[in-house]
Amino acid sequence: MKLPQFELHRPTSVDAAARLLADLGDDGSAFSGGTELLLAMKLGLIKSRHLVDLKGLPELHGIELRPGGVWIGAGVTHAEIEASPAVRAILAPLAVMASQIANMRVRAVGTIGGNLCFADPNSDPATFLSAVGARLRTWVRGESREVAPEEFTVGPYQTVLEPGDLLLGVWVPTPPPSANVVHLRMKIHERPSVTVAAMVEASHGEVVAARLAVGSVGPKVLQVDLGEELRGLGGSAYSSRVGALVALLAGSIPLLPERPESPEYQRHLVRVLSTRALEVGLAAATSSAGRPAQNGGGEA
Amino acid sequence: MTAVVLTAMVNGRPVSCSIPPNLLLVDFLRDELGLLGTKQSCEVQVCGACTVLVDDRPVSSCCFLAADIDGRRVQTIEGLVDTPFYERVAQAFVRHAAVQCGFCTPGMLLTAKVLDERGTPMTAQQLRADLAGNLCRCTGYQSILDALEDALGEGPQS
Ligand SMILES: Cc1cc2nc3c(=O)[nH]c(=O)nc-3n(C[C@H](O)[C@H](O)[C@H](O)COP(=O)(O)OP(=O)(O)OC[C@H]3O[C@@H](n4cnc5c(N)ncnc54)[C@H](O)[C@@H]3O)c2cc1C
Repeated sequence: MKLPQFELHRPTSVDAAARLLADLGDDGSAFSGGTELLLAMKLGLIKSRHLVDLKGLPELHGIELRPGGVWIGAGVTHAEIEASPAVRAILAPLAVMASQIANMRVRAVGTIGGNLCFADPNSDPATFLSAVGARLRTWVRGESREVAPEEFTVGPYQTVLEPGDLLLGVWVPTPPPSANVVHLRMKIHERPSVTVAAMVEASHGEVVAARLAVGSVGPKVLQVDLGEELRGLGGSAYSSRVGALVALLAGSIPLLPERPESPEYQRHLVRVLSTRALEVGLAAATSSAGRPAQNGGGEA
Repeated sequence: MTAVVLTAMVNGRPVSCSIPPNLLLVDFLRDELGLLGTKQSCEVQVCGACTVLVDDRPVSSCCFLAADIDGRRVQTIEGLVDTPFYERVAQAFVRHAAVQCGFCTPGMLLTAKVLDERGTPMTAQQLRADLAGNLCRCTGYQSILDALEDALGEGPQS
C-alpha cells in the first residue's frame, strides 16, 4: 500500500500551523505521529492533499509538574507518558494506562493529542482522563479554551475542533490525597473491547466522591458522577449499591452497532469491569488514605 | 508534489537525497537503499515485521514517512549484524530454534535491541508484554520467548 500524493508543511509555531490549517480547510490535516492519519490515508479513508506537521511546534511538547497537577502537551507520545517521573509522582495509573496502549511502536510514535483528536471510540486515554476530571486545552480561532474530555468528543471520529483549531495539551489535576484511580480494560482485538476508569475518594472507609467513565462500547465516553448515589456508603452497603447502579448502567449504556462483540457480551463486560473498578477504588482509597493515588490498573 | 530534502544516518552511513513527501520509510529503505531485511507484512502497525529504530525508538516503517527521518539515525537489521548484541541474540535464537521462515525475525531482533538498551534484565512476563506487538506465524512464540529470556533475562548470559 502506498500513500496518495500530498504536500508536507512544517510550521514552527501554533499560530502558523493554525492559520495554515484554517486556510486549507478540508484539504488539510494536522499530522503528529501519523499512526492513525497515515493508516487512514493508506486505506483511502482520509484524502487530505496537505499535511501540516505539528511535531515542530515547541508549544505541544513536554510534560510539566505545576501546582495542582501535571501539564501534558498534545505532542507527547504514549511512551513519554509511560516513562514520565512527573506523571508517576502524581498519578501512577496514568503511566500504567499509557503502557498498555497498542504496542511499543505505536506508543513510541503516537501522541496523546492524536489519540484524542482522532476520537476513535476505543480510546483508553479519553476514558481515563474523563474519570480523573482532566481538562483539554484547545486553540480555537486564535484563542485558548478549555473543555472536558467527554465534551471534546462529539461522536465517533468527531470532535468539537474545526479546521484550523488545535489541541494544545491536557491538564491533569492531582487527585485528592484520599482518592484512588483504577483503570481496567479487556482486549481481544487490537483495541480495547471495553475500557473503564473510576476515581473514588473516601474518608474512614466511606465514599466522599466517585466518578466512573466507560469507553469503547458506545459512540463516545460515558462519564457518570456517582457522588450523590454513593456518598457516605462503605462496606456491604456500598457493594450492593454499586451492584444496582452498575447493573442499570450496563443495561442502558448506548452501544455502537457492528462491533465484533455481541451486545450481551459488551454489557456483561461493562458490568463486570465497572463493578471491579469501583470496588477496588474504594478498598484502595481506604487503605492508602493520605498517600497519593498510586493504585495501578490493568488488563482484565 | 514538492520534494523533501532528507539528510540522515542509516546504519551509521550518511544518506542525503530528495524524496517525495508521501514516500513511506519501508519503501525508502527497501527500494531506494536496497535494505531488504526490513519486511513488509500487515501494513497496519500490528505485526512488527517492518520494525526499524529511529533514534533508538522502534517504529513501524510501513506507517512512517521517510521524510520524518530527516536529521535522525536509523537502524535496520543490516546495521545490527556484526554487533556483540546480535551475536548474543542470534546464537540464542539458533539454540532455541526460534527461527523458522524468518520473516518476523528482523523485527523481533530490533525490538529485543530496544529492550536490551533499557539495561535491566527482563523477566519472562515483561518479555511477553513487550513482544505482544510482534507476530510470528511459525514458531508458536515459546521458542522466541525462551531465546530472548536466555539472551536478555536474569539468567547467566551466554
Ligand atoms: C495497532 C494500533 C493499536 C492501537 N491500540 C490502542 C489502544 O489499545 N488504546 C488506545 O487508546 N488507542 C490505541 N490506538 C490508537 C493510538 O493511540 C493512536 O494511533 C495514536 O495515539 C495517535 O496519535 P498520532 O500522534 O499518531 O496521531 P495522528 O495519526 O498524527 O493524528 C490523528 C488525528 O488527530 C489529528 N491531530 C493530531 N494531533 C492534533 C492536534 N494537536 N490538534 C488537532 N488535531 C490533531 C490529526 O489531524 C488526525 O486526524 C492504537 C493504534 C494502532 C495503530
